[in-house]
Amino acid sequence: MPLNRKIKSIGIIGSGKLGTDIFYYLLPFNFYLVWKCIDADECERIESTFQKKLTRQLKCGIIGDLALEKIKKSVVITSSNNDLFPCDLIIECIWENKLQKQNLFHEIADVVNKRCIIASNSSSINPSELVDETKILNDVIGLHFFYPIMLKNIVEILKNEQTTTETMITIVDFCSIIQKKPLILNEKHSFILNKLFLEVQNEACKIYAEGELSYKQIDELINTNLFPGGVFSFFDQVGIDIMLESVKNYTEQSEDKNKYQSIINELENKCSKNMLGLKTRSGFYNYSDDTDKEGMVSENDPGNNYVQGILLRLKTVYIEKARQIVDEGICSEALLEFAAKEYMNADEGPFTIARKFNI
Amino acid sequence: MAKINDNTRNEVKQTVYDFFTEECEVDASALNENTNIISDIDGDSLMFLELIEIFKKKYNLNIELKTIGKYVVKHPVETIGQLIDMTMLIIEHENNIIAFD
Repeated sequence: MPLNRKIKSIGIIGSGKLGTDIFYYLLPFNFYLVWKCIDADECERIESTFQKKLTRQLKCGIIGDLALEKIKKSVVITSSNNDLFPCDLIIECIWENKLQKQNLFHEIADVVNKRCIIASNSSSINPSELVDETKILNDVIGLHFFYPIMLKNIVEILKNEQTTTETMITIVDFCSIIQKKPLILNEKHSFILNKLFLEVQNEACKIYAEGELSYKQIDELINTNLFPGGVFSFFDQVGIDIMLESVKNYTEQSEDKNKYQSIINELENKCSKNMLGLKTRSGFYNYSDDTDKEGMVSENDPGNNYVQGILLRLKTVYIEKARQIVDEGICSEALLEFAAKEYMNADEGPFTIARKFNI
Repeated sequence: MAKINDNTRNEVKQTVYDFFTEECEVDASALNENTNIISDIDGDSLMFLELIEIFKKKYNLNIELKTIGKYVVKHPVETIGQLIDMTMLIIEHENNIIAFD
């Protein structure tokens, strides 16, 4: 009997940014998709957008009439958990909150079929923390996609002692079908990509707190020398409240409970003022006022030596963390280099930077 | 590589305006080349990727989304005018757009 079973039907729970991205990414791969939204109103909104997109794709020649009919028959948008029953794989992508996810997993445990693999797209909570094993008999894994999925060809798969070989083979096969390279991690070493970049983010917050450089100046240094997108601009795009929840979860998993305090301080400060990033038009940058997109602190000229010192600090934390991941045997150097480049859309990963600058 | 003519920019502009009018449910008269896609009409990166797919099909373009992603990181697109300019570059240069650094 073959160990892998083919995934034919997929449930997606959640209609936020990632849930929506996962649905539209999976659409062309001919799966039967069940998109579960929170209530009937949300279903109506999602259905209307979906129909609009299909009509536009037909009009633009991206799909033909036959494909349109096929897609319509292979998609269910619903607010009922019961519609998840036929799914071979369910991907949860709701709000990054442990309690909400635990409640959801308990709710769906009663309705899914027993061979269904339940996956969490969480970026900071290990799957085993989400389930009560006495109530959920299904295999539960982490399946962490990166936004926007179309541009990031990497998926973190999190497994634990309970994860069966059959499930792993099935999921790796699934990743191959959807053209994503899997980065398989044990839960003990989960979310290594986020934790790699978290080192730089935390250091950037420490540097900002020292008062010599603005958010924009620090982001520019990172943009030019480490990876595109910067740190504070990245927080704004993800959502500062979501980042804060995630960093708190990483802190829980860390032995050193003060490890990420600098970043938590910065994020809490913005959250307390309801400055949540792009979604509120204000965060580390201001997006409402054309005259102030330059970062929210007046810019000093701290001198080249100071800036070079800061740059070395940022590069060092980035490279040291990458080396630590490889030294601990969590991931090969080649795979981490590839994954870091994919995640940040960068031309060079940490090991290339290390060699280039002899660090 | 698609041939650019005097009509191409108008075609691109019309497609972009039609897209955002429908997707963001705004009146076409509210859009102009200075309209900020995120802060003025609630656009997002997924809409941007969908538009690129439309242009890839329309002009039969040989370009990787990843290439566009790398280009955009270095040349951020904020307004509808910038999006139209970038689309014209993509149509003209396809994957070679990355050379325009």
